[in-house]
Amino acid sequence: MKNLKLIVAVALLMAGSATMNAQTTHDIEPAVLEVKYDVRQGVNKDLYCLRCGKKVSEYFSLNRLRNDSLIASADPALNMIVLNEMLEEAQHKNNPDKRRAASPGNNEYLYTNLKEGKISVYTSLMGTRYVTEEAIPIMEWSIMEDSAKNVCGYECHKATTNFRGRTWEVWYTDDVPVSAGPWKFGGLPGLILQATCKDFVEIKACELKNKGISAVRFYNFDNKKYELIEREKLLKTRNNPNTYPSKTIITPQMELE
Amino acid sequence: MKKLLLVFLLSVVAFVADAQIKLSGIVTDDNGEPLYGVVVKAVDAATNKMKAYARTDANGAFELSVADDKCVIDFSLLGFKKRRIEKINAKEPLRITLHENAVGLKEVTVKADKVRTHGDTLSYTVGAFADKNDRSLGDVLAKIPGFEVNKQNGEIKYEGKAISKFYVDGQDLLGGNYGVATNSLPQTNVGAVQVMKHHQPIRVLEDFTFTDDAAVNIRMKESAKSHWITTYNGGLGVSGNQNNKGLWKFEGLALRLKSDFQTMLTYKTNNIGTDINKETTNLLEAETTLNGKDYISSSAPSTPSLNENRTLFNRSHAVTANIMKRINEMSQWNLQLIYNNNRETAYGLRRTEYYLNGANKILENGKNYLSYENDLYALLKYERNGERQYLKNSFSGDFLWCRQWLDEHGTNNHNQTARKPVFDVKDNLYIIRRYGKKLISFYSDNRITSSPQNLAVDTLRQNVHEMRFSTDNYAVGGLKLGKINMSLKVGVNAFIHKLRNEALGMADSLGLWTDESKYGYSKGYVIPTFQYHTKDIDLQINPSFEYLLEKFSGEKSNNEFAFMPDIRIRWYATPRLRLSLGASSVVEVLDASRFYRSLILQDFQYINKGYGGYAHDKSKAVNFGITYNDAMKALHIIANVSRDFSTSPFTPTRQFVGDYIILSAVEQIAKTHS
Repeated sequence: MKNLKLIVAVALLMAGSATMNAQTTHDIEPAVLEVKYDVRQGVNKDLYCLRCGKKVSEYFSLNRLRNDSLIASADPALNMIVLNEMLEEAQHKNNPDKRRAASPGNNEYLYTNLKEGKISVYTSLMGTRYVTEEAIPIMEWSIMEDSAKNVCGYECHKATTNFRGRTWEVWYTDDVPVSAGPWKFGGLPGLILQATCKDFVEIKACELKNKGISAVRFYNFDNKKYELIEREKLLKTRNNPNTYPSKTIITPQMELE
Repeated sequence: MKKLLLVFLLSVVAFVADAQIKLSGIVTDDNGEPLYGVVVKAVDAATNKMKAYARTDANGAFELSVADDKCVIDFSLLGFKKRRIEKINAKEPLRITLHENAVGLKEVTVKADKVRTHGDTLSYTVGAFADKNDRSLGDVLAKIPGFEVNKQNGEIKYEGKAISKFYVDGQDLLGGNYGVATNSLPQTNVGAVQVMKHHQPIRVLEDFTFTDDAAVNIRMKESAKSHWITTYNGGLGVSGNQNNKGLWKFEGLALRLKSDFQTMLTYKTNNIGTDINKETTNLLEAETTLNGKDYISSSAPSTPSLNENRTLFNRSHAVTANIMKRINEMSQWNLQLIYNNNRETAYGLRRTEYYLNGANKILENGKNYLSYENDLYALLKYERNGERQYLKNSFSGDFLWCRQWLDEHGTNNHNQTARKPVFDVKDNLYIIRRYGKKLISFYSDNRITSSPQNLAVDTLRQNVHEMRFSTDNYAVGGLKLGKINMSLKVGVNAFIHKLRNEALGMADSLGLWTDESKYGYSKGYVIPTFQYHTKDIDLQINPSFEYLLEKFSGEKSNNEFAFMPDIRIRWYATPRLRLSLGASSVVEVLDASRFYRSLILQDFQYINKGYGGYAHDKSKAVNFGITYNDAMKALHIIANVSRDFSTSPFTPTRQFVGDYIILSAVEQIAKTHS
């Protein structure tokens, strides 16, 4: 029992230095627009949701949201669903129907606050929850106004940029005057409906709605606490093979630097 | 110096401005509140091409440089009316007001041909998934993404979770016995399948609980509505088996769906090893069984792990009738009748060889088994689903007649015949009422079960008549005070167990063979629950107070007060560290079926012997856990310490007397610590 006390004391000391940041799940503000993006990376598929309010917009994987809500449930039967899906996937490695949703950035909830001019990313790494904060990045876009393509029923123009080590080609529409897009993309004179990084990932809108949609909501099932960390530090640890058990396949990140 | 620099800078700007017009301004809404993210575009008035763009910042301010003054400026933001400024005056900052405009954008969903989304409802067009080999609804459902169908009992799962309701054209016709529809409803009559996610069937609860349950609604085609539809299919065959030459399988279904009156009749029969009883079991509510164990049991040969079709020799008939009558928007009656007739045969041979010094001992035992089963189930249900009150009453009877013949030969030679009828009648009442922001619910479950059973082993005969009466009535109410959630459950529970048994032809030397005994208890209980939930701490206290009065005929009654606490605390100390602590104590309910004084023959070999005594099983548990995570240092610690203490006042015994084995227990405390 003495040993136990020691462990508790040590654990408390170790934890003492951590910065805390925790909020419960709550509505931030009503949303004016909801866009769903189909994300493909090699054989991996995922579905993302972008919700825009007047001040805050959020971007996250709907599959991740489902997972997190099931795992956080008090009902063990719901927790088991996720576990069973993982088992199914492991048992049927060659069956694409059993493959669970995956994509770069799948475990990130992005909140872009236009009023404060910052992006907060809530994520986790090997069971520890982290939050990073950065100023809304300014992207140098080259716009090709003569280009035209129909994405999800909207006439779009092409724009390109280099952002944190990758070259992106995006398609935005003048018809939706919201200067936002998937992930950290934005700053164009209209909504970005498609973003492609060659040989890496393709993000393409598949649904647009502005009626009967949920509010922009901050998600934190189970009221977990988040530790504030520098973006670069987290990225470095994430790409370090020593962070994971041996033989873990590290998925490439959306940003390289 | 500073001034000089400023002058210099200004002159540079002025120089640039010679070729470029620099615009700035503020965009606000009707109330003067600054608007963020407004797209400001300079468009060439002649060619309509964009020359430059900007977006307003947190203060609603923007800056824009335009090459010449032939441009017009467009201001747009979703939810606001677009505005165009024709004349540019670069000298003064612009003040633009945008008016709110609810006219939205065109909503688009691509790939909507097979799946349609509407809020939390997904619709699947059945025709898009079906091909000509699909016969029943279940065949098509199994192909739709997200659905899983259990072909044996017709159970439907959506996204891995069993569905909570099965509606036909919005009406709850089949309740939990929807398995019949999954396996029999012809897919050609179904237009679409709708999945209602987060479906709360009880209107009163709509604002109170969030549910993750999904319900399924089957939308019939217009051509299939308001008149009778009948379908049947069947097959005949010949087998080489001497005892069972003709093989058959037949299924028929008749269905009529009117908006306020739905009827479905089915008939199924086969003798090819398909168990159709499973389809008629309730898939939504797990049946609560009152029957502890059977006093009489003749064990059928156990089936090896082969496909059921290969080991089940049956002759089965199942008839079901479901009728739903809607009285008004809120209330409806349901009547359900199910009749199963089943004949089953089984053969088994078991050879056991004991290797001993000298001669080996060989036991050989063959079994011939035959059973006839008739089961009639009737349910009458009334449901009223109002906005302030929900009421459901279901009254049901389940009557089972069962006869079994088991012929053992080989080392042991015995002929056994058992009659095992069970008659079960029960009533369930469930009311939820809403008072402002409070909910109070009331449950009343009453049940009578009677099973007059008998067993004949060669010339011996054992009669057992068991009766059980139970009633459980309780009310639950909840209250939310800031971060504290409180609820209170108060109830009364009573139970009587009566047993009359006699055996003919058994040796008196073994003990008493005739008895009439009664055991009953009544208890009052109060279970308050406190939940305290903040971002740091989860605390749940769940104590249960119980006053119990119990009596075994011929003995003094016993009264007892039981306190069963249950506490759980979780402390999220930091993002990396979580501590948890839990403790609970439980007093188990006594097994009523052991309260008798005589011996009861179970089969040719085993004898059950009852025993009294009011001592309860008790258990206590304590656990403590730490979870610590630091991915930066690749450090993960999970430690759990738990201790369980349990006390059981009786220890089971097996006594070998002649050819028999007597199963009973002695009063000897068994303690386990782990």
